[in-house]
Amino acid sequence: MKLTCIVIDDDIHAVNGIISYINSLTNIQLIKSYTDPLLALNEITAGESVDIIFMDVDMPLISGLELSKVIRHKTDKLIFTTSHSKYAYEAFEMYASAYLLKPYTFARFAETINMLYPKRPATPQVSLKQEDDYFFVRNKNDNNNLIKVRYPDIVAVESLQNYVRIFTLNETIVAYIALSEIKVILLNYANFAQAHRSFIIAKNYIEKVEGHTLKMINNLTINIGSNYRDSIQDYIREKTIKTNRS
Amino acid sequence: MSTTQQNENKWPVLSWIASKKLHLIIWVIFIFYEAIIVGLINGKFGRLSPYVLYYTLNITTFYVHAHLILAVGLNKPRQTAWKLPLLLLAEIAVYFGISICLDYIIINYTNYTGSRRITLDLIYFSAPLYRCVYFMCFSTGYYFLTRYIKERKKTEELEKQRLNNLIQLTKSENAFLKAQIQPHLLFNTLDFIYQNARESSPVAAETILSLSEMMRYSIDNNKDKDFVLLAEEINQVENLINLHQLRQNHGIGLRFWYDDEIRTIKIIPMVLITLAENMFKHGDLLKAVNTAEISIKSAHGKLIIETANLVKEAKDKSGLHSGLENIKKRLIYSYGNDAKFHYGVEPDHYFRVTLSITIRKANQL
Repeated sequence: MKLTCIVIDDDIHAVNGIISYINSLTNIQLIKSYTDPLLALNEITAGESVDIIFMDVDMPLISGLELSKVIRHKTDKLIFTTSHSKYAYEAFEMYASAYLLKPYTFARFAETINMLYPKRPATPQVSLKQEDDYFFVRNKNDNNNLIKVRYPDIVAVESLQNYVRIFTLNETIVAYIALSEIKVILLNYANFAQAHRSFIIAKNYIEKVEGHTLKMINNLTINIGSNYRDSIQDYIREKTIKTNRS
Repeated sequence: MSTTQQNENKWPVLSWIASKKLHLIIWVIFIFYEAIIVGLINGKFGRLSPYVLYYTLNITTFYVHAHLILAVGLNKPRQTAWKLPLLLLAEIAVYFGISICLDYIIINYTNYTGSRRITLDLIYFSAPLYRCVYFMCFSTGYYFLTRYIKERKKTEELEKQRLNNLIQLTKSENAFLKAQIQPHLLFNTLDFIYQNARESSPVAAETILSLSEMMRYSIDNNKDKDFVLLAEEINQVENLINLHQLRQNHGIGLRFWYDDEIRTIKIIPMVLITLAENMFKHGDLLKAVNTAEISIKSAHGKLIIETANLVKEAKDKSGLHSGLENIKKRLIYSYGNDAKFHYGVEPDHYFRVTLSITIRKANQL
């Protein structure tokens, strides 16, 4: 069952922005969007309840606080979108389930939804069929041309905020996708493991282990993050041969 | 309060006397002094009535001279040349006149036993002349003194007004500037650009995102706090790295190593950010082979922050050391011996900074 939501913002660009985020998530759907707060007020109070209302606080003609008071009971969660700091709106705390500070990334948006509905996590629309052993991705280093990346060729994937650097045996590709998004695909393959908050590696390309540092086949040196140590070390231990004598 | 006001209204004379008490005290002292000196010189004291009459005349002369004669005479500097001598002569003449009258009264209507007679000759007038000039001199001094004090007060008042004005001006300038870059307008605009750029230029959109997060940090944050969470500074450093990466087409070889647990540790503000900024200002980060590093870890009860980077070949390294020295001073101030801070170029040509802070409860305020 998808979460139902309504968007109220007098700025049409902000409305379009949030709608595109909504369309990128599988677990949420838009019922209606409003740029006129008064119209929103009338229709919402008369209509059905929804799960989430996204509301801009700084709208003309009506006080955000007043509007919140009136429509609060018509929604499970009320999320304020504001360009100012949330600290400026302490009075809203009693109505707000969360704040989104403009401009905000898709990641922040998804994170907020997941936080409010942990049992129904949002997964980004990944329209990738898992059968093939390759995928195409736009390479920023090569004029955004599409390039084929084969899973067995991937040595490591490094996070660059909303970009990733994919190290393959032959080249380095910078793609416009977040690590959290590509992780979903990669971790389906047993060979890939997360070694650090910013790195996913292909276990078969680990050449050397120096304490808490991994050296990959392409000379990439990666520190193992403390959260990920156990699983990496288990893997290494499994693959280590040693004498039974000691 | 009301009773004193009533009293003042009933006896305006009394209140006037109260306001002039400095004058009264000085006159009383002066009269005593003169009376005693003259008595000692002459061997005997005069009677009361001459004292009263003559002192009344003299004191009146004193004030008339200061407030009337000089005020009028020196009023218009051009006319002073002829006005002042005229007025002075008139004053002396009046003084003589009154003096004669007083003498007449004293000799004929009181029990005067002295030797003075109204002879209207030079010898006779020498005494009143002497007294008149004597008091006129005092009065002149008094006049200039009061004028000086008045001028001084006026200048002080003007100065105070000027300063007040300056404060008001600065306040309104400040308010104006604040209104220009009010966060509401700023972030709404940034959001607008972001939404527009998302479709056509993701790089621009991403840059705006990092930029607006950094701006939000500097607008929202009161850097007057003694300690900040490492998490906040780490976020800003990541924003900074992202900005530079986007501008350099992701060609910067810089890795930022830390584990999520250290995020909850508190540290004095603007240390981590300054070290990161320094790396971008003075470091040569574009050689992908020689990566630069920032690492934060917690080990053996110490927080350890290390940076390493190659250095740009540039003459102007002035900013670098002043920034680092500033950090050193602030670390000493906040942590004393708990903080150890080293920096310098190593044999492998890397410029390294090592900061280690012993984590204590007291540090985590």
